[in-house]
Amino acid sequence: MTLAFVAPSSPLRRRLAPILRWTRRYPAFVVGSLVFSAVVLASIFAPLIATHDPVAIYPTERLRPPSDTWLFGSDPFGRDVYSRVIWGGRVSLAVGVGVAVLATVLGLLIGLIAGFSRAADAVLMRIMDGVMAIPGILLAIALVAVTRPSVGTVVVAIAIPEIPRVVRLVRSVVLSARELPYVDAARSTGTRFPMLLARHVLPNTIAPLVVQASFVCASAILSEAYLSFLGLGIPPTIPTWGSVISEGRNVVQMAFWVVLCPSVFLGATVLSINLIGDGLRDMLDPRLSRSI
Amino acid sequence: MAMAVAGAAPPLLEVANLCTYFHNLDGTVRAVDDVSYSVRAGEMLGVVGESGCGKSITALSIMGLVPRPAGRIVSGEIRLMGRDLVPLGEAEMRRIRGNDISMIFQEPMTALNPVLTIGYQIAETLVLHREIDRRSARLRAIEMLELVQIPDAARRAGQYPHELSGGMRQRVMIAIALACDPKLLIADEPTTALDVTVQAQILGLLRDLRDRLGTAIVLITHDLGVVAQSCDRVVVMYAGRKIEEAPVDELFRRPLHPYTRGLLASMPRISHGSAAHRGRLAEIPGTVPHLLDPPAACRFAPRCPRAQDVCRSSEPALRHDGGHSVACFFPGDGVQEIRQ
Amino acid sequence: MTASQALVEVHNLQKYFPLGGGLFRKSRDTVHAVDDVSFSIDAGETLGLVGESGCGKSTVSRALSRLIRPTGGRVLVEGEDIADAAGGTLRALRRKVQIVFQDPYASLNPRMRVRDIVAEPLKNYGIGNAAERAERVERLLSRVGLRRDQLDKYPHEFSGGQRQRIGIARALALEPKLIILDEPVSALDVSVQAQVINLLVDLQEETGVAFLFVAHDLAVVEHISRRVAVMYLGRIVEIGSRQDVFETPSHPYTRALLSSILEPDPRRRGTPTILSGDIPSPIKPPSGCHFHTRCPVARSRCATEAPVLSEQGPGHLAACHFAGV
Repeated sequence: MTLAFVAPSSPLRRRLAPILRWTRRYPAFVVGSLVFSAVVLASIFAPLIATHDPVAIYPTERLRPPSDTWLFGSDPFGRDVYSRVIWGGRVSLAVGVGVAVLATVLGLLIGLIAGFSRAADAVLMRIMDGVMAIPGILLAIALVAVTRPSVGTVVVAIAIPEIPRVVRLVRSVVLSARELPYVDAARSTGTRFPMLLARHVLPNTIAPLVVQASFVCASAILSEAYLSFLGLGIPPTIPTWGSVISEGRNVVQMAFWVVLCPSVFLGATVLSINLIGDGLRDMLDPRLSRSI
Repeated sequence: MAMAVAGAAPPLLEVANLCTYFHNLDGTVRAVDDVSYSVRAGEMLGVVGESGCGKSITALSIMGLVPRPAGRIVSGEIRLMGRDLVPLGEAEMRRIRGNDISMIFQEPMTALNPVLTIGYQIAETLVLHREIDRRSARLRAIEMLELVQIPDAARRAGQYPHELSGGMRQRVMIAIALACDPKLLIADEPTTALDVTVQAQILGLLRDLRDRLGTAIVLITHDLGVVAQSCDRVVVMYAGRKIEEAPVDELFRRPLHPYTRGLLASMPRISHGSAAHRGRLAEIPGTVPHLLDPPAACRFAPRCPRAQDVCRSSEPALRHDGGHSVACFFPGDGVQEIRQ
Repeated sequence: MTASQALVEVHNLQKYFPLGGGLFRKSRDTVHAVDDVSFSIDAGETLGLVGESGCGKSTVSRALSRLIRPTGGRVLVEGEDIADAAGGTLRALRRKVQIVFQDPYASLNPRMRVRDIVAEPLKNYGIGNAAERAERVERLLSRVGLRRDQLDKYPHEFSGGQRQRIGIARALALEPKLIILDEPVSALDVSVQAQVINLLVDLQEETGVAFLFVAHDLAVVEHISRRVAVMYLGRIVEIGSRQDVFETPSHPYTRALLSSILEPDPRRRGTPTILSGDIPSPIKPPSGCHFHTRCPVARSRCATEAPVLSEQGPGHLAACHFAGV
């Protein structure tokens, strides 16, 4: 047992035991959280842990393999891949979180309206169906094309295709929550609509929304990577994982590290967020009854 | 019908000291703890108890359907015509289910496949166990529908579950269960989800089938009314243990366990013009205990009006008195009966 | 009914639900859930409402508490019509009619403390200040048998019987004149039902509140009700005092229902009247008397002419052309 090294009756063991039991129950969540925290911390402390200026060019050091100076090697322009990846994480995470928040808030609002008003529901859901019919990336590309590219416009462009899924989720929760006996009870004891919404209906949406938000975040990070890979979206002066991968496209045969390292970061980050989402869903799943 | 007459038919099913436990992260739940009962051919045994008493899990244990991996039969034997079912593997149990032992459940809608006709579902079990061709199976399916008194059977066989009422669906379930002539039918709360007028019909049907086909029936319910009207013998379960067993007349006339007595006293009765049962209902205080790592004491002690120190420190064993057994230190009127 | 008004008077209550409609399509079918139901409840009495699935008793309780809006008819609570009320009038009338639900697990908000659940009605109507409300809540919850240290717990920490008591405390908070109890003990263990039934009887004696007791368990209904109404497919087929309905039932459906009761007494093994066929669908109810398709004494008149409630004795009404036959 992992607690073997701790004295049997020590207070430390008593406090550790439930945590370890919890870890055994939700291993995916714990792993995901650890990896994600590492990525976030690395991004926050980028100025401290980066070895070089991410946009500085060293023409004599092009396509160097990974070494002590160039931790992930150098790219075709002679820039440090490691520093670019670390700094690029900031943009990717910012976009991911920004999209998740925007899509969740807007989706919640629209979903609430659709859930409570039959007339609005018919109209809104057809609009959502229309948005969902367009492939997300194409929609994002189109939206970015008609505006001046910046982090802000990219966030909006990626968020819009994510909204319908959130709306559907919220709407279905609201529709089923309205039928719950305790909502009826609140109505019959004179609860007015705003309080009914806030205290009895909305809390039911939080758990599924949080889970959905995590998946939206992961998907947004990927979408941003696709956009910058294609040279759209964030202006090329700012390094992002997608653009770093894109720059290594042509030299992948000779210098695979330019593509491999940012890809691993991207993959690990997206996977860890998905694991967090899965873990949250398992944890927050209403345990209706222990069937014995 | 009195039991335990010397020379009577041997029991068809014998559950002996069955223990089914569930292991989860919080501990061990002793859902069925040392339960024994038996059923003879042509007999209807009522197993009665409230939520958490283990009556359904006992039935699932007999069928080999205890949810795994959390649940397991930890010890005991389940003998069907002398043969122990507990060590049998899944393949062997599949041959027995639907064939020698059948089970019907509380919710007929969820137990029937909504995309298959009821004729098909009855025929399916026949084809599986009897290896006859589809056409003969189909004819036999119509026979079964007639056996369970569904009018216009040939036409109904082509209908889907949603086209039938609750009572009809339950009859279809019974038809499926009896298609292969099982020796034992386990009915788990078969009438709880049905209307009052339909309940009476279904119970009448079960009694009829017991008399005509000689099928042994284990009727699991929480409703003492159901038991009183249909069963020959009754087993009362509480918190995973069997606490009383007797022929039905005997149980209602002379209930011995304080729980059984309390239950009967607390039920509102139809007065039939007399003032006998009016006024406050006798209450059993408290609630059914949780079965997680139970203490070694009488499980009913916290709620029992007669509980003494011995009840709180050791578990009472079953004492037998003719056909009537009870697990209590102070059964009957409370005077301790010392029997060997 | 005497010269003084009954507490609640229901006149020709009707509730139809349209089926299969949409934004642009008109609905094709209608569920006649409640079809011309009339009854009254006096102050402090218990009216039992029984019937099988599809009879409309749940719809009646929802319409009475205005959780749904009746399609037709009047519902007078102390003389005022609640059926068409809106806004302020409706809010004022809601105080007088409260409801206790069947499912103890779903009728309490799992994220609210028990104390707050019972305090919510008081807050909604601005009754007292925070301290007075807290005191009232404590009194209510202790009256239904909960301890002070349990007040800050969440619903999932209680058993089904305890949760139902909390629901009863909540219903009492506004000191209503009528409490509608929609199958209040059906979801509880048998050993707990008696506790809740006794509590209800005691509370009625103390507060003088009237009950509309909707249930399918006839023994419970007989125990607690002073008068009983029997519904079938959206209509009341018989109504009268407890003795009238249970000892001298006039309507063939009531008789069939009573004969099907399974009593916990093996000496009373009756032969129930087996009703042929199934309960018809409330979408296409039979013509004339709704019960004629299954009635053992039906004649041709029953298929064409719907019977009205007629007196069988003082205060005892039955809707049957051949009542008492």
